[in-house]
Amino acid sequence: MTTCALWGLETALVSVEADVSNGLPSFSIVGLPDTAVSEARERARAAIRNSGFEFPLRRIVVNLAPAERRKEGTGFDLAIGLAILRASEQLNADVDGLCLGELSLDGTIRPVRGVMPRVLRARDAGIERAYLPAENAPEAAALGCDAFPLRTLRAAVEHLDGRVRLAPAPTPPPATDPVWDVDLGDIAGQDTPKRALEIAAAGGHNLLFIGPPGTGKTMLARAMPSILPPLEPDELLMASAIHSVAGLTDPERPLLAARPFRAPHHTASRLALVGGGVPPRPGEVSLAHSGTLFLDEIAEFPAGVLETLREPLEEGAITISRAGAAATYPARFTLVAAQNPCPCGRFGDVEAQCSCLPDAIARYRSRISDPLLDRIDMRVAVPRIPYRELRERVQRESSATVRARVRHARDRMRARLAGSGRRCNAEMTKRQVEQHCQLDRAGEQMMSAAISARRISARGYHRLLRVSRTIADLAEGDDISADHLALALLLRGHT
Amino acid sequence: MIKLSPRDPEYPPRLRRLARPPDPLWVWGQLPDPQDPTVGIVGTRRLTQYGQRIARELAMALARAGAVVVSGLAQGVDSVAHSAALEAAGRTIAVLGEGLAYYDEHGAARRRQLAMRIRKQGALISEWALDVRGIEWTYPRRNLTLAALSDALIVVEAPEGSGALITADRMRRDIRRPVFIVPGPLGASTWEGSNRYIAEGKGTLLASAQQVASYLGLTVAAMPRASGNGAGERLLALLASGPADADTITAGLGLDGPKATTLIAEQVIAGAIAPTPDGRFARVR
Ligand SMILES: Nc1ncnc2c1ncn2[C@@H]1O[C@H](COP(=O)(O)OP(=O)(O)O)[C@@H](O)[C@H]1O
Ligand SMILES: [Mg+2]
Ligand SMILES: [Zn+2]
Repeated sequence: MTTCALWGLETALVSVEADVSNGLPSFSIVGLPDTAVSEARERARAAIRNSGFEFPLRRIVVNLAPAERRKEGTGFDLAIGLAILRASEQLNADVDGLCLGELSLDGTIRPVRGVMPRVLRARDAGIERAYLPAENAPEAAALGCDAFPLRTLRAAVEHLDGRVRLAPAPTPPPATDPVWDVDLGDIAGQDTPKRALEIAAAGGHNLLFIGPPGTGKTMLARAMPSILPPLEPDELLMASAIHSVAGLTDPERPLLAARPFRAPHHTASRLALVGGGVPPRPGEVSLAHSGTLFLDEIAEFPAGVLETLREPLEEGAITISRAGAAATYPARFTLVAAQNPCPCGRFGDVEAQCSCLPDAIARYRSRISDPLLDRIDMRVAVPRIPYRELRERVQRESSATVRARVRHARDRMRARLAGSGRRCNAEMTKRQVEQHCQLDRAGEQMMSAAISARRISARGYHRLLRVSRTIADLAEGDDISADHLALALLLRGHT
Repeated sequence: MIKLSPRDPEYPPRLRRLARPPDPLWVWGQLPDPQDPTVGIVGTRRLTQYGQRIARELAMALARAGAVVVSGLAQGVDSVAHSAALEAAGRTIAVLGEGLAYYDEHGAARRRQLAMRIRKQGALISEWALDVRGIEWTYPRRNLTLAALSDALIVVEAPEGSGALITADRMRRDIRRPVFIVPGPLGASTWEGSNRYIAEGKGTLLASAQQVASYLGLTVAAMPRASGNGAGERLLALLASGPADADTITAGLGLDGPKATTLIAEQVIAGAIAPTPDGRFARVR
């Protein structure tokens, strides 16, 4: 039997063989971590008995190879059960596919996490068929695999021996365009914040909205998915695989229909946000991979949790280490955050007066540490707009129009960065920035004026150029002009 | 830290005119030459951004002109005035309502740095024993000392009931030196005390730093303004009453987006305006 091990997103095919010989009755499993063995043994024994088979009262050794791999326990149950039945000749056919599933004591087969990356691994090895829990079958079918949906161990044997033939799960229909929560056309005014959102969507730059409550910060951020470019095929597989490992796959639509948009609440635990546990599960930062991580009311997140964002923001990945074992998950997301300007929320509000003392405001703002703030490319005020403007029924630019510009700009980036493993301007290395961010003459003049006046820090310089490059791409410009640089400077909001 | 009594030659002569001069007076740092004119700058802790800009502008201009800026080292107007005087390479005195050692140990961490700089370019002083903590009745007496040390007093922004107005009353009644009041927008609670004070004729409406400088026998340098171009001037005028976001600036100037963007960027580079931590833009001068 072939099954597949999973650790983080790392996968390895594992072959499972059972040997049943005469001798004192015993049952051992070789090649699983100690903790997992006893539980797997109990499940296999009970499931076989309760499925109407006989559990051989002989000497049984099940061998999982290779042995040295770190493995998660439960996905191997089905392969172990079938291997014992085959060795004791209660199953007559050879099993020619990937076996995944957890056995419950009564012989039913329960779903497991992380089917998608394991099926992908099997596919790479030329295995095109899989025997899986019924709940997981659509995940495998979506990847083009012949996926046989199993509900019980008995049904598996009946099918394999050709007595009751099961049909492979149908390929789920391709995802249709999702219906977006918020369309940019629904939002009145806020031209600069919308522009910043478009730039963030196109180039993957991090963005912070600041404004009093009720000015539309959350609404703006929620419009982000509606203007993001579609996932590229390899991004789609990776993002869907991460969701599969987290057990968040939608059986109706195993492949994601759009770039992920994750909005964890500020009460979410550190584990939920960055991932962890044994075996390690991906957190929100990884679920947001290739998409957006939205932190609403960012100042309410515990400081320690925010600090853990620095690693993924810098590396595009996060390493979770617990109990001596580490797993790395991708975590390259665009950060969109929203914050009130002060504890009472009224600072700078034309319609209200702030009641906060300066020290309290400074403390509130410093909850976003300087190193984190440094990684935020755009810091944009979201002001209260007049009621009259809110009510105005005018034709505003829709998300579809903006999205077309974003796609076009992203295509330019992809072509420019082809072969470098980078996809958008925010991901450019410093060398790529030097290479691809040519300023025109007026732009050059503005840049050198800004540098000599110390309006740009050494660290801010490359970030500023990346954002300028995206603004130029949205305007289909080859060189970065003074206008593009001016907007990037305005949006940056600090040195 | 040194301890001075009114009989000591280094004792600030202005304090000797009080019925009961502080005795002893604790001094930490260097007291400026008593010949130099002094100006008290006080106001609310809960200051608006407009108040912040005006406090800063006045303190810088007067310190640069040679006046010693006297204030109380609280958050808000006091801190802005001290910092601006230091930034202008001027001198400043902080009059505390608690003992110097108590302040050093328990004072807000955010102002410890400021206190240290004040000791280098001026002094912290207190009439309270080193370990006295500031309580309700130490501050009114401190306010009298602050007024006595000042040749003129400026109230930048004061709501009703503000300690700054108590200081102004002492200045007016006990010290009999002028009080200048910066007027504020009607309807803004943090200016209600200031505006009433002007309305009741208790203080002089302050319209420029030179007004105070003239009284002190000083001349303030002309304020540097953004270079000639008209849109730049209009931008500064627009931001005179407080910071604004990019869209408000664009609409207020009646410019198209790219023109306004370029203007804002140019003025940021020129140092006339600066981004605020809440993503807007404020006048720097
Ligand atoms: N610019 C706007 N255009 C249309 N509706 C708006 C706008 N700003 C706010 N709203 C309305 O106000 C509500 C509150 O906005 P929200 O995004 O929650 O504000 P914030 O997150 O800044 O507190 C929104 O659900 C929306 O109905
Ligand atoms: Mg909100
Ligand atoms: Zn407030």
